[in-house]
Amino acid sequence: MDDPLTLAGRTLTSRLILGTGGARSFEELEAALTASGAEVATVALRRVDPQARGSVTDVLERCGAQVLPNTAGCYTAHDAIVTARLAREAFATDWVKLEVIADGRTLLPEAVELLDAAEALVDEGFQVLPYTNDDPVLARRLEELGCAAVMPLGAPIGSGGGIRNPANLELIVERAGVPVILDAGIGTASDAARAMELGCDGVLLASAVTRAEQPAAMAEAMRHAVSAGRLARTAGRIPEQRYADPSTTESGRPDLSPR
Amino acid sequence: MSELTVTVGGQQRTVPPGTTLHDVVTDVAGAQPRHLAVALNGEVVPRSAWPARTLADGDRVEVVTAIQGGAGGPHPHAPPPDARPDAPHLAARPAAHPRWSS
Repeated sequence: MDDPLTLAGRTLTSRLILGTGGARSFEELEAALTASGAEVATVALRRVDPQARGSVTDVLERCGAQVLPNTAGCYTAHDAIVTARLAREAFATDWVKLEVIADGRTLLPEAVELLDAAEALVDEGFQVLPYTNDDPVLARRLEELGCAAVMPLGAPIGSGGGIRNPANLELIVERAGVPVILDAGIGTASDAARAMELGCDGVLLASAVTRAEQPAAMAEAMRHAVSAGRLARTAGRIPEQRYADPSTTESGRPDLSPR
Repeated sequence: MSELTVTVGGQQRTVPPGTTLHDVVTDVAGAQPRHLAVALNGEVVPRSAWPARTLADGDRVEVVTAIQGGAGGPHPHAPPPDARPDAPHLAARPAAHPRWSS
């Protein structure tokens, strides 16, 4: 089905974005990225390791995937802003997945610092894709600041908890004028399908694939799940109701009672 | 002139006067010249400016590149950021809650 996603001015065929964190090897990552069909993949910035062999960006290049740098591990607007600038310098891209987290145990977004960083980076011409809480008000504020998308969590990063607050996610989707991409919390394929059924425009996931026993197989499952969920959303599901509703008519039913 | 003391990637080292950012990047990154970025005292220095930028005593240099990173920050079981040896030190924490201005 031809149903592309326009994200920050780019048209994407796949609605799945793959995070590269957690993969056990570049070979596994490449197989998973290929199987996922994702056209965009996240990377993080860290100090150069002179002993490192190969690079995650080589894997992305071989798969034809666009680099989406993130600001993982930043706890302040300042650190996130400088990290985004470093990423722009390193990868020649204006896109940034903005993360400003509050603590190492929950990795939940630090809303105040997130808004500050988003405002500054939008002003500097970045295409800001913020990782945010499942808070409809915060999502709206991020959109009003000029973010290119909003990326609410389904559950804490790496938890595999699925979608803990589908009602909030629906509220975000209802009001959003920019793409809504579910980011974090996906555990298995049905979670990704659910996100799309709830109206998300895309799904970003990492651990669910990279830490699966068979990453490439799970990546393929996620590709199908995102497509299936999107199709189901646009197909218009039947209303949910308490009692049965026969799909076969009563009329013309033969009389089969004994004499 | 005496040697300068600078911090590169969190490690103190001494370098001769006249050492440039380009010298340091070449020394640190060596075989991986692509997809690099440099922060000097918490400010990004574009690649084109590396050769002309000489280091001063006490300068703090960070040379960063891509690593695997996914949906969200470090793994939940990772130590706090101050204890992460690979997290670049970009600047001191702001004291209160400043509105950012660039």
